[in-house]
Amino acid sequence: MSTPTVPVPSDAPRPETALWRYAIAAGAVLALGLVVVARLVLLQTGAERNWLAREVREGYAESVPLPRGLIYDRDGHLLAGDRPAYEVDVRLAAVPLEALPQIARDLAAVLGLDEGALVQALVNNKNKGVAAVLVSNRVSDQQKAMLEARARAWKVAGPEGKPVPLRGALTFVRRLVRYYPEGDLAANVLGFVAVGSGDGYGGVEQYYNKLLKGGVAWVHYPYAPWHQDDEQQQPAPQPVALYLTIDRPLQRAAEEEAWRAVQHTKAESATIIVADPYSGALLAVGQYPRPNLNDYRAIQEHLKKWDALDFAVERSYEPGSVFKVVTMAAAVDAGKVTPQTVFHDVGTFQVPGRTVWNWNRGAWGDQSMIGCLQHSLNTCLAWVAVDRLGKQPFYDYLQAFGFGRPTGVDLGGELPGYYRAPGTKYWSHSDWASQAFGQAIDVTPMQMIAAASAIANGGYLVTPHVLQYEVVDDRAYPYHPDPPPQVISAQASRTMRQMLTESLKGESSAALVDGYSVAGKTGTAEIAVQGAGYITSATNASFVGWFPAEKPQYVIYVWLERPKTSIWASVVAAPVFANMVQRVAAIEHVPPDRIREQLSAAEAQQP
Amino acid sequence: MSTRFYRMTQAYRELPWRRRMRWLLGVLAAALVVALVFAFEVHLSAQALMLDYRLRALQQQTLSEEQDIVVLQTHLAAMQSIEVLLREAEAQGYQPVSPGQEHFVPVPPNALPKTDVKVPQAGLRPWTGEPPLPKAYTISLIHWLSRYLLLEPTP
Repeated sequence: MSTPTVPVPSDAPRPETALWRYAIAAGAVLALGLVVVARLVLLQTGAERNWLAREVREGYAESVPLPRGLIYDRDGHLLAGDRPAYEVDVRLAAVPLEALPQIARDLAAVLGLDEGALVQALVNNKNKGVAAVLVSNRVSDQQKAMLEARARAWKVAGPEGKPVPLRGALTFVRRLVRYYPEGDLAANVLGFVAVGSGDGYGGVEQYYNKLLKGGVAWVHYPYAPWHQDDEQQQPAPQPVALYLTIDRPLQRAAEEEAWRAVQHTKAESATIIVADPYSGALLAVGQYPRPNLNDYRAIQEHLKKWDALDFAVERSYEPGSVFKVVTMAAAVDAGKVTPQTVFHDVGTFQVPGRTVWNWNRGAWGDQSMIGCLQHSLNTCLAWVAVDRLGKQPFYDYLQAFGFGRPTGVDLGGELPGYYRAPGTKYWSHSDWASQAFGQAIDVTPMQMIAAASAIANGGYLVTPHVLQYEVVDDRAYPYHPDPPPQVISAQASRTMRQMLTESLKGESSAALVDGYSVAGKTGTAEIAVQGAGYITSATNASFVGWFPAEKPQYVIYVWLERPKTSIWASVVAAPVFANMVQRVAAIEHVPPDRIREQLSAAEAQQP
Repeated sequence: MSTRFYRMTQAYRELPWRRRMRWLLGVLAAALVVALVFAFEVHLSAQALMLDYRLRALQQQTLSEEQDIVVLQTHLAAMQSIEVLLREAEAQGYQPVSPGQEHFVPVPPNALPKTDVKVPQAGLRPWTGEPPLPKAYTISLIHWLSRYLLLEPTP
């Protein structure tokens, strides 16, 4: 019989080996737990973001093309918007060589391309191993549908010689492109947008390109939680809308009158500007010819021919006698002449190096300053500038009126104009006398409208502009010009208004309009040709004026380039001004002077 | 400090094995609590991430719809272009009005129409050293337009 086993008391010390085994097991479990905890902590704190693959760290992003900012006229009519267009590529890698002629035929038929050239291009690129070729980037919805329908019928030889459908030969990428719902209306003011770069050229599109350019918004989808806050801090760019001072009916009227003037006078081009003389707001900048902005080829042809989109700012010329209003305003403001000052005209005026003649080479005897303007006497204005005003004051006034530098109008490509001033190379007394009546000085129509506005509005040189306000994120930011400098006194401005009204009446100008008082001045400028001097058969005919004469609301500038039916502005440009006054009065509901006076009297009688 | 540590380890060494296990389990339980807390935060973060995805998808949808709105606006403007409207008007027998056809009838005490105030009038505002208009408006377009058109003083 064996001895019964004596149980070991529970509190007796265990053998040393058993304790070590427990300790190892417990340590392993503890270490595992700590690893799990450490892993969770690291995940949350982002301490291990650098260990992860880049795409896991940053997630992915999807692009959304933003529309280019919209442009409206002053009453909210859309002038420039966006519409979808497709970029179509031929995936040469997925197309056998023998299928290319069929594809080219259909593409050429739908997109209006040259089939032969297209086949050649596709085959050449295929032979070079090019994977895909861009065919067009302005494919419309309808064209896309037609191409897709034709592509469904494309077949290639299968493995057993049987024809099988050709799939995936074309790819379409949707994008937004500029579209001008009014076609060519205000084309010169708006400018256009290049398809490739998306940048604006000319007009508002160029000047406000940074504001308008839509670009692409990226929507990020981060995988890692710690990226959420970072990405939410980058809001998508806000679309901008520009509201212009351009008035659609007035713009249309100005363009119609420009077209009509070209038809009647056989001029090469016509430009008509209508502006508010007090604010400088441009209500219409009509021009003919101008391209349809939705036709890229028409734009190219226009630029090739004229090298300018907006003649009012991108072209300068010698204005001729319309410039006399500036010279006269300067002399009146300086107190050197009054309307009653008499000039005895002998038909010529001598300055060193030049004899100034009148337009008809005639002598007009004693003439008041009103008579000088009425008969547009070159000799008289040269006398005013040289003998009465003086050299330095004359050029100070030119500078003050803003000639020789851009007006600051918010339209792209504005030219500064040019004139030779004392101290510059080749300046002579002849320049001084000639500039007094609008020769030897290059101005843009925009500079003339700014100067005329200053003469009409009490002497303030306002900055011409087309922006009324911009809207960003439902907030309107009005156009904010610098305070305009006063270049002539209010009294001189009043005197000029009277003189220009009287001079028009005195010559029974074709610019006069029944029922409305108008003030203004014609200008016929011979065109200087390199090597041949001034040629009398070709002129620039201009007219600058405003109405109502005493309380100007609208200042209007007309420029006809090389009219053929008559070279004289009084014959070709003055009637255009009169027509324009009538159109503006009808569109803007400006009552005739008689009614205005009655209403003013009634208003004055009110307590 | 070293004496204290020695005493603790000495006490642990001399504990019965059950009590030693209790210590180990206690440490493991504490680790488990910490793990639960962080796991809970992981769960919350995942929920937040999913919501964020939805928000971003909505943002993308908003941008796409803004695009569509612009396209529709442009299409509508093309249908209402002045060329189309004039053609329609002429088709219906309307003719453009010339100045001679307009009749203005003064009806006192009605004053002259304020046609000359349609754009910001900066030209003749006296220069006082301050900008004639504030640099930026901080009111909504509707308020700005109503104030502007009613010629109320700007704030």
